[in-house]
Amino acid sequence: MRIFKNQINILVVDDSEASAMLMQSIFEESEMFKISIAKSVIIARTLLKKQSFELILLDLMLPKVDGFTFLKELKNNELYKNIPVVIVSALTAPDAIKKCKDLGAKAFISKPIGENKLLEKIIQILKDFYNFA
Amino acid sequence: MIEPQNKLDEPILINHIINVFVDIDLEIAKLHEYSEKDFKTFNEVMKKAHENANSISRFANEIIELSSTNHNKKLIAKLKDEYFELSNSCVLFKDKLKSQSLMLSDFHDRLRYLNLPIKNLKQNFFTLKYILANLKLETYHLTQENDYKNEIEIIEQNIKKTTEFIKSTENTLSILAKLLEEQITIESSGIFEIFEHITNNFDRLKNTVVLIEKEYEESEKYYPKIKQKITEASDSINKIVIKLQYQDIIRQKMEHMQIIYKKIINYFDEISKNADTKDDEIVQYYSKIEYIASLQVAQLIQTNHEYEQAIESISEQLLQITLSVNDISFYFRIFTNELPKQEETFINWTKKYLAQIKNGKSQIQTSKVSFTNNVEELKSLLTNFKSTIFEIKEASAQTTNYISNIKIEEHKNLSKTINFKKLKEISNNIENITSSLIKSYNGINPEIWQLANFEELILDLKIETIEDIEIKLKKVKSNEDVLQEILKKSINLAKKISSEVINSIQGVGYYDFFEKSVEEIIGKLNFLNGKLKYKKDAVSKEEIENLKQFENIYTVKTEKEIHNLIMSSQEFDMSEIKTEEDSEVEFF
Repeated sequence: MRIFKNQINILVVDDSEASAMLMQSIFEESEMFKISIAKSVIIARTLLKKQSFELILLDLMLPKVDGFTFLKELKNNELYKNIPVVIVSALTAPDAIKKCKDLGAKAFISKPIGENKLLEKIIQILKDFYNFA
Repeated sequence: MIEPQNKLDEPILINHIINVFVDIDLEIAKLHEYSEKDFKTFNEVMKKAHENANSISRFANEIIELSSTNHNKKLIAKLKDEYFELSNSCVLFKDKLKSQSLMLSDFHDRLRYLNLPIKNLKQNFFTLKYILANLKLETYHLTQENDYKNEIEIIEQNIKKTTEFIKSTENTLSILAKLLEEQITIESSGIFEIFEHITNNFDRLKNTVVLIEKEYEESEKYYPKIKQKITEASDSINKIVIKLQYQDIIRQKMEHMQIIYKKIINYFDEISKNADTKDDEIVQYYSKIEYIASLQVAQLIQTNHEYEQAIESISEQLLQITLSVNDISFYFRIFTNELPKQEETFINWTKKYLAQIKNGKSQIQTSKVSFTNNVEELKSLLTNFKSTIFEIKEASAQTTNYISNIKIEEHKNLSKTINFKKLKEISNNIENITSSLIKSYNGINPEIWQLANFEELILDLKIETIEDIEIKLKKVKSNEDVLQEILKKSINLAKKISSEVINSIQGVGYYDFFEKSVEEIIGKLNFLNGKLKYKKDAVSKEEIENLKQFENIYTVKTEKEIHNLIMSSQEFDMSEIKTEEDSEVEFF
């Protein structure tokens, strides 16, 4: 069982300010999490080099490099392949969801993100993945 | 080159169809642009509203904090305690001063009563002196055996000494009486008045503090209302954020529509350029367009519906934020316009009363000097007075003793002029008077010796406490100033939010453009559909199956649902399509 002594670092990769803001406000209510926001894959790559993350929340519709491509890139990288990735997207068609699963995402959360459920779901995913207390 | 109107008996050309789709594509591109602009505006307003609402919320918490729990309320409670303490010691001092004054008056009266026996004593000694002088004169011619000269002279000397004591006592009594009168005057007219003034001011201070406290209690009832409005504003922001995410969904849907139009345009472009295209192929494609048009209409209606819902909900929530911040601003105005002004007055009163108390205290300090000096003099005089009275008693007793022991044989001639009986009588009188003097002296309240302790009582009104009250009041005032500043900022922010929200809602392009444009596109598609309708029987089931290729374009669940409904039946109810309201999660 992993015990998090410090805050859990979460990287949010989303170009939508509204979604990013919502996620930030949801997570910052709990002092358990520290949120970093990247509005593009390019920024996400830079942030990943600077610090470690326990979870990545990834949108699929992103400028220049889309979420699918970045997910594939993460899963092929030795350094990042073990970071659980949760897709948060408006692309809710079954084939899009299936593609995410095939590429190695841990879960799929459809947009629009509601007010209360996200935190609960993320905690559940983290508990399952890290078996943490 | 195929001429569709000849082969299909339709007055519609391929180029016409291409033009319609190109137009629609352009319209959708514009819709895209407009929706982006609307969402961008809302996004910006929402971001500012979010920041400002957060600031207001922070300010409100600071205001509540400043007004109640940790600052002024505690200070005021402490002030109240100090006022009570000071006021009580003031009342106590006043009571002691009053009883002391009564004691002084009583002492003054007793001293006046002492005057009478002293005068009697003086009179008796005078008579004695006269009798003795007579005796001395009458016995001058008598024989040696009957010579009383020596005895008489001893008595005379004793009388002289006693008379001096009496004289000194009279002087002491006169000075004492004068001092006491002065002392009583100081107390009744000076210190009493000052203390009366101080006590009144303390009472006023106490009342002022109670009033301030009451006002705080009054203002406290607005705290839950402010908190509720802040929660409402925050809830509205969350709802807006959820709705703003529809931008992604709408963007996707419009992109998918454009992909389909581009595919159709490309196809018609190709067949219009290719003379080898078979007629059957064209007929089948025309038939497909009917389905495609229905599909695109349905997708557009759904997108329009979602957009409208999002815009309306965002507008509604933004207005709700405006209402909430306006309410917060209203409650804040109650603080700024009413309560603080009164507090300002209360604080000014308090400061005024405090200044008066300090002034009163300094007056007491001045009076205290003469008061203390008098008390010291009184004490020393009373000590002298006591010893003089005892000396009088002793000397008198000696005189009466000599008289009773005088060996004067009753002589015929002498008895005519000297009243020996009277001599004895006076001697007894003197003894009685001196006893009564001692008795009167002993009747003086022993507490009179405590007079000097008045000074200690005055010092009970600690100047540090008064200064501490002043410091606390300054702190209360400074907290009030901070409060005013925060309130001003909050009200300005609330105004800013209101005006930005109203401007953004007025600037929404949806109603002016998007809705109309969607209607226009739907009209064009329906026209096209109507023109091509008669050929639907020519479409084989296989061809309809082929339409499934469009399904692959869709990435949003509702798009797929609409597609399946269109493909499965001619008639369907749009309300069967459920708009994405909240996130769904799928664990892998």
